[in-house]
Amino acid sequence: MLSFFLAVLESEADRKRFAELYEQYHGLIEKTAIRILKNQQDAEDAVQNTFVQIIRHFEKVFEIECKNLPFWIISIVKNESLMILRKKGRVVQFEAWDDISVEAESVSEYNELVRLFSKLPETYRAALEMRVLLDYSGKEIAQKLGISESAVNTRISRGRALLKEIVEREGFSR
Amino acid sequence: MTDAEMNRLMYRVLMDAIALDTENANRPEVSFQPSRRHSEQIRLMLKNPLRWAKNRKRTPWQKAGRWAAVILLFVSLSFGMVMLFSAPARATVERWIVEWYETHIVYRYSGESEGILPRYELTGLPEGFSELERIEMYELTDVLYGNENGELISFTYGAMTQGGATVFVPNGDSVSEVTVGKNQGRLFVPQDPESLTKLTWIDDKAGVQFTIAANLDEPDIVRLAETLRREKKK
Repeated sequence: MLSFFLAVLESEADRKRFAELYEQYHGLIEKTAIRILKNQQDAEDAVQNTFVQIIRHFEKVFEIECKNLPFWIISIVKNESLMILRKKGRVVQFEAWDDISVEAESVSEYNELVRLFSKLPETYRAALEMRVLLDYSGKEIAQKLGISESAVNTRISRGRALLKEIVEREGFSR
Repeated sequence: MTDAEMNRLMYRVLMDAIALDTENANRPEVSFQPSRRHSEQIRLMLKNPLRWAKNRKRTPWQKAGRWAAVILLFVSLSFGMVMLFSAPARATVERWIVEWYETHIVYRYSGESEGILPRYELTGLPEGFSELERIEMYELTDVLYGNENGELISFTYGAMTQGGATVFVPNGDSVSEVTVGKNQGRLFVPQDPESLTKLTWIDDKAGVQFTIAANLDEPDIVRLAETLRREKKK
């Protein structure tokens, strides 16, 4: 079950890289967690859960472009924090997809596309980030979001369909 | 656009959306002030990330065996199931009774509140263990001791006041009576060697029930319990 740990972080070089990564990003992780959770104990849990995920997916640290690495890390801590909020019943998930569909019709530039995706309902965005950025399985995403696997697939499909629709209409190729 | 190109664009859009959030993020309303426990966890993580992460995957309840001692204080308990033993079989003492059910054992209290609980500690910890965390509530305290290898000892104590109860779920453990000093106690020895041994005992005079969960055999856990010390008032 824990075999995913075996392939990474066994060498001294990997451990050194991990220590460097900690030094470089722990402040960002802590700040993001406390901003979302506003509670020290919850933030500490989110920070530690984030490092578990980084260790688990450590091979990605070498694959991701340096400029994207902080955003990949933020994606993890944000989703770990939201999971804590969800477990404590402190987050209400509005699924206002219709508003997004309407807003999508006026998107004509890449920056507007990014802004639209930054406003996706939380579970939609979280499902997409966990699948596309973090490579989590459908089962794992479902557990983290507290929804069924089919609901996860629905969210990911809708996100992809939205992007495809805009791209085909506006011809983004970035 | 191919699926691969679509995936790359989705990746880029999601990354840029996070970057946009980061640009627009306000400063946190509170600052992150790491606790001693968190700092200790980070120290263990940096020392051996793999071992730390594997250990972290287990919940604190799994790690400390707290699953066995569910503390339910100040709640009104109403169990809709049949007791295995009739009323005369109950061990009735002044301020507590023990009720045996099919799946769990309940210590139910009826004592008067004596105010804030005194501070207790276990002074004879195994070598390398130190106190990691102490959560003090009004009439319940939860202490966690740990060592460099991530092994934990849970120590919980609570006042036996009216309306409170402690529930043990033996889950196949062998249950036996023991004596801790001059006090009566009960030992829960698991069949699974990976699980923790639990020891609970009651100090009638103090009106307090104590519970230890640790990876220790019977003589050692009893010996540890007998090193209990009440901190003197300053």
